[in-house]
Amino acid sequence: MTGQPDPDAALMLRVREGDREAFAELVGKYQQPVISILYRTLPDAAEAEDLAQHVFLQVYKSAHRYEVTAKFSTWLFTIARNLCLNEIRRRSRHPAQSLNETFAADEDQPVRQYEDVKTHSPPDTLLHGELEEKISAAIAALPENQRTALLLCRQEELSYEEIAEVLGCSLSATKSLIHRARETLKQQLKPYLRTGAWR
Amino acid sequence: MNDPVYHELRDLAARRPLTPAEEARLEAWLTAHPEARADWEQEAALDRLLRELPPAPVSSNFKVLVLQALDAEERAAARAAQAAPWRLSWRNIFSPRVASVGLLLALGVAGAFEYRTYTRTQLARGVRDVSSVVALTGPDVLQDFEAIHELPAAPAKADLDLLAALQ
Repeated sequence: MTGQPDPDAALMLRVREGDREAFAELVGKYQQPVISILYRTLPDAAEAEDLAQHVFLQVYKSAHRYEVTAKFSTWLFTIARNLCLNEIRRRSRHPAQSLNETFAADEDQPVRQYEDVKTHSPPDTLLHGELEEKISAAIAALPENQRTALLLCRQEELSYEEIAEVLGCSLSATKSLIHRARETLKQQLKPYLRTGAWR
Repeated sequence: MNDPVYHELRDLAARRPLTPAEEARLEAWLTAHPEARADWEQEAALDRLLRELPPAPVSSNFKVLVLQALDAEERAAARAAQAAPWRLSWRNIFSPRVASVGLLLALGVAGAFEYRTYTRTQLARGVRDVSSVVALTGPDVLQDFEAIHELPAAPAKADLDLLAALQ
C-alpha cells in the first residue's frame, strides 16, 4: 500500500453507505479486467460474465467488511479469484451442471448485448483467430496459480506485492510463478515467437 | 541471465511497454551483453503476443445487468423476510442478539439437565443411606404375628379398667 490515497477506496466507502452510483462507477472501471481474468479460466464469455456479475454482487454485499487499509483492486481480485476457485472445484464435483444452475439466474434479466469490435480484414481475422486460439489454449493450460499470477501481472495498477497478496503467497513465490508461467508459454508458443506471426 | 538490470527491465516490459528512456537503457545493456539478445527477443515477442491478445468480450450492458441483479437480490430478500419473518438467514444466525439468545438457551438446557442428574443422584444416595441404617429384622419378631394381628385395634374395656385401678 503506497502513501497515495486509493480513489477506489473512497468509492468503496460510499458503497458501504449504500451508494449505488459509486458501485456502478467501480463496476464500470473494473468490469473488463475482472472478466478478462475469469475468461482465461472459464473460456466462455457468457460464463465468465455470469461469474463476474457474482463477483461484483459479492463486493456489494461484503462492502461492510471492506477495510480501507486494503487497496480496493487487491480486495476485488481476491474475491474474483476465490469465486473462480470455487467454480473450478464445483465443476470438478458436478461436471454437467452449468453456472446458471448454481447461481439460479434471474429469468427476468435482459439478454447481454455484445458489440462487434473485430476490425481486421478476413485473412487477418483468420490469422489472428488461429493465434488467439493457440495463446488462449496455452494460457488456459497453465496451473491456476501461475495463470492468475501472469494475468494479474498484466494489470499495471497492481504491484508485485499486491499480486502476492491476492495469491496468498510470498513475493518471491509470486515472481517465481510468473517466471514459470512465462517459460511454459515460451515453450508452447515457440514457433509464433520465432516468426512474430502476430503482427 | 542473473543481471539485476536485465531482470528489472524484463519485469517492467512484462507489465507495460518500455518508455524511450528504458528502451535506450536496454539497448545499451544489450550492446554490452550481446549473448543476452536472443533471450531478450523471445521475452519481448512473448510480451507482444500477450499484450495484443484481444481482451475478453464484455457485453455493453454488463453494468446494467449487475445493477439489475442487485435489485433482484434485494427484492427477493425483502420478499423472503416479508413471507417468513421468523426465518433466520445466515447473517441473522450469527448476529450478536441471536447468538446471545442461543447461548442462553443452551445454558438453560444444560442447567436443566445438570439439575435432573443432581436430583437423581441425591435420591439414589438417600435410598442407599436409608437401606444401610434400617437393617431387616430377624424372623423371631414375627413369631406372635398372628396373635397380635387378631388383637382389636382399640384397647379392651377390661384393660382400661385394670389401667385405672393401677393408677
